[in-house]
Amino acid sequence: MLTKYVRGVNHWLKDRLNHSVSGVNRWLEDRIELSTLITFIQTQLTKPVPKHVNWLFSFGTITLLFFASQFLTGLLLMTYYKSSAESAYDSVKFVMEQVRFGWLIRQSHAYGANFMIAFLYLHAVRVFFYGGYKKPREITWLIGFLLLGVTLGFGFTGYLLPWDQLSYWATTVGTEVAGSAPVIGKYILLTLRGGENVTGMTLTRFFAVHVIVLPWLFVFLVSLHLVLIRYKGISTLDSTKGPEKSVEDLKQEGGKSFFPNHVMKELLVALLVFTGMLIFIVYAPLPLHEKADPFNTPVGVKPEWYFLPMYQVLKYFPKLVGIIGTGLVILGLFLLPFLDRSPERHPARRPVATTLGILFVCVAVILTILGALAETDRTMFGTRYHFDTKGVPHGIAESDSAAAPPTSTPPEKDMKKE
Amino acid sequence: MKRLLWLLVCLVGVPLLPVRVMSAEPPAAQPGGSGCLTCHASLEDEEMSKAVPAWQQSVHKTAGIGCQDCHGGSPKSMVKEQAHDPNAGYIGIPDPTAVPEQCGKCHQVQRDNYIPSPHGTVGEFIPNCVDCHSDHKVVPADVVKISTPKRCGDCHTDDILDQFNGVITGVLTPIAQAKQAAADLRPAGVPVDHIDAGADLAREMFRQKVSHVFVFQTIVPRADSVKASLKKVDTDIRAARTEVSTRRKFGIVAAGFLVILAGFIWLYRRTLSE
Amino acid sequence: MATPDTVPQPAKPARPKPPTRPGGRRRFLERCLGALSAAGFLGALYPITRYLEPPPEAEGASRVEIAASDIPFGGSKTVIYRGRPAIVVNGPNGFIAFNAVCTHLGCVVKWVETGQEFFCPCHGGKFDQKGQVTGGPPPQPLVAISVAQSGEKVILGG
Repeated sequence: MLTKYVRGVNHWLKDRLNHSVSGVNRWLEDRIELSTLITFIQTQLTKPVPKHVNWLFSFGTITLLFFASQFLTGLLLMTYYKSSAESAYDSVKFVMEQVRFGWLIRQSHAYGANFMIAFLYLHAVRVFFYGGYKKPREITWLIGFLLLGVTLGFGFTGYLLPWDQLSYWATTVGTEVAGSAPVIGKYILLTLRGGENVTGMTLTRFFAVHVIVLPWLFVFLVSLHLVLIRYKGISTLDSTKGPEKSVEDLKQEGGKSFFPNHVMKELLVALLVFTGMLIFIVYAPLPLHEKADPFNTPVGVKPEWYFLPMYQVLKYFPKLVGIIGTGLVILGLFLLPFLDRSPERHPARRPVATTLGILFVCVAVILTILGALAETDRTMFGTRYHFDTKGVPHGIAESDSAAAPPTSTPPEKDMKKE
Repeated sequence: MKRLLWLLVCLVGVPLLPVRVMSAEPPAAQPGGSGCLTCHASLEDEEMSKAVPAWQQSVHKTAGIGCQDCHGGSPKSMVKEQAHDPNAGYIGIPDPTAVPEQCGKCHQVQRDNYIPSPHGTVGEFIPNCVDCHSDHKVVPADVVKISTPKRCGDCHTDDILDQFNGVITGVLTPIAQAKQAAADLRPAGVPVDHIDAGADLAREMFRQKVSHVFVFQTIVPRADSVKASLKKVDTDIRAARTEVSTRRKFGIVAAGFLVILAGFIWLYRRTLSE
Repeated sequence: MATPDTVPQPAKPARPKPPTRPGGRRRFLERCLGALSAAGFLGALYPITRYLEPPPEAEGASRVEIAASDIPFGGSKTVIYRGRPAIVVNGPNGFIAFNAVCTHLGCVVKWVETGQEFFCPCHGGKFDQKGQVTGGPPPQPLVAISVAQSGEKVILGG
């Protein structure tokens, strides 16, 4: 009897609820044409993606998710960050050591930057090999390339903000490289630094660019990028000579709907990537180094890994040749859709482009490794090597490293001086 | 960032050791003066040249203490007679009895402890500073090493030496361990400055109250008080270690949750294809 | 959902399996996913709310020393005591000290030598030398701080 009563009440409640929801719906319908909106969203969500779309096609979404994560953690960091040369370092240290979960927020932001750029690189490589930049998606590529630039700008400007030794000197070197561009180099250098040297002036302008200019640019560009992707759909592997496949064609070929099939695939990969980042955060946290000291350059200063290939290649050529050469390669990549005129998209049907692409990736990876090895000492196969700036190993005599006296007592080097 | 790079490198299958940025070389000038080093380094007689490489490895080079600070003379001069001019304060090899005052110009605490100590009062300073710390290389005196019968055994029995060693290492070892713990914990991002400072304070107490005193009865209670001051440092180290493991547990739980969520998505996707 | 024709149809129960099974399992998993996502969202919210709490901070000094010569007779000085502004007055009855935060809306009161009273510049609140309200909107008297003179030093608290 009681159950009956409860059921009755339940029914009545549901009825009320439905009634009021439909009331709200009607109210909204009159004002924002809700049904049109829902139809639009549903059409978009159920649009089929081509059959060949696999998990490699989740890299773009992961990059976007990382941007969202960076936006959130960046906002949180800003609540404690002080953007001046005097207090920036201490405020970051404060967040990491004193604020509850500050370590998590700061590590998420620092690692998130690296992951975001890594997945952006992977996304660009994926688009290249699947021919996604070809007609009629050239503009999507151009905007994507600009987004890459904005993201690298985020990395470059954000790296300085903790104001520790590595970030200070990496910025000094990085702005120096930018400043060696022909004709306008000096102007770029002074504008970036806000003076002859990296100082508090540099910090404040990098901060402004990092938290205002670039986020707005990114949101604007990524909106265009997404609209274009929704508009034209993900490209098939067919030649661009034929007409673009219609929604019906794609469905007939066995293409699954964007939601939930593809979205769930992306979410799955994204969750695993974020899990990986969490593991990195707790087991290999990124350290905050010594506070920046403009009078003391540490040995082996180099930019972050995502700039290393470009930085390393400059070492093998005369300054101007390197800068112009790198600039031309970057310009070439930007204009790729107009340089690569082949109508084929499938990587197997455009062997030259595929080979060049593989070569390019290999060279970039090798340059990154050389850049990482350069100016370090390490033991390999039982021999100690010093790697010079070009990454060439030179054997070091064992006596050099064994020269330091063996000590079991701490060296008493702090002397009292009069 | 370097670790991420490392991951990248591992992915392409190139074994590579983690990148280690070499510690910065202090910006030491050549305080010895080019004169002394240039000539003495190239002298045939090893007795005359061996001081140069020894000094170049020494903490004195880093600290900017050069030849003339102990030997006098004109370090900049390239002419032997001018460089070795007694009028310019050149004294050659310092008199062994003058050594404690010589070193004590800078190492005052050590001098003040040493001069009234048994070593300072028996005969004319036996042994003196350079006997234990070497002359040009200037190394920290390794108590275990110099307290072997070969060096100290002429006057002391093994028992006394062992007891003395026990007191000294009983303080220095926990200090070194605390410093090491702070250095190890620092990259993990937990606060360690207070641990480091505590260890430094203990070391300074050791330096002022225990080292160079050489009176067993005096240093034992002092060593104990230094050890007592390390108790708080120990507690702090344990707290910092707990913090690191708490963070790891948090990370593992959160990661586990995400993996479970991913598992459900995977199951859900499978129902879509049915 | 107003347009059922565009909604993806659940798997057709045309297979030999029990007809309700795939849809039922999917619905179950959908609910699990919903619940887990909600839990994850709340879980993520926890560190963020903790992060935004004021970080643990040492309370301001609870014992403040001022040189007596800093405050001329009849004058006043505002110092930080326990992290908040405090006003010390060298009055006719010796040194007096109050928490300088007006009990009305939190402005910092001034000592008016001519009127021998505390005056809040925001809304004209007035307090006498005992901290009692003598005019204006403040609902409560100023909070007194114990003050002692020791030689050339005036000591707040402690």
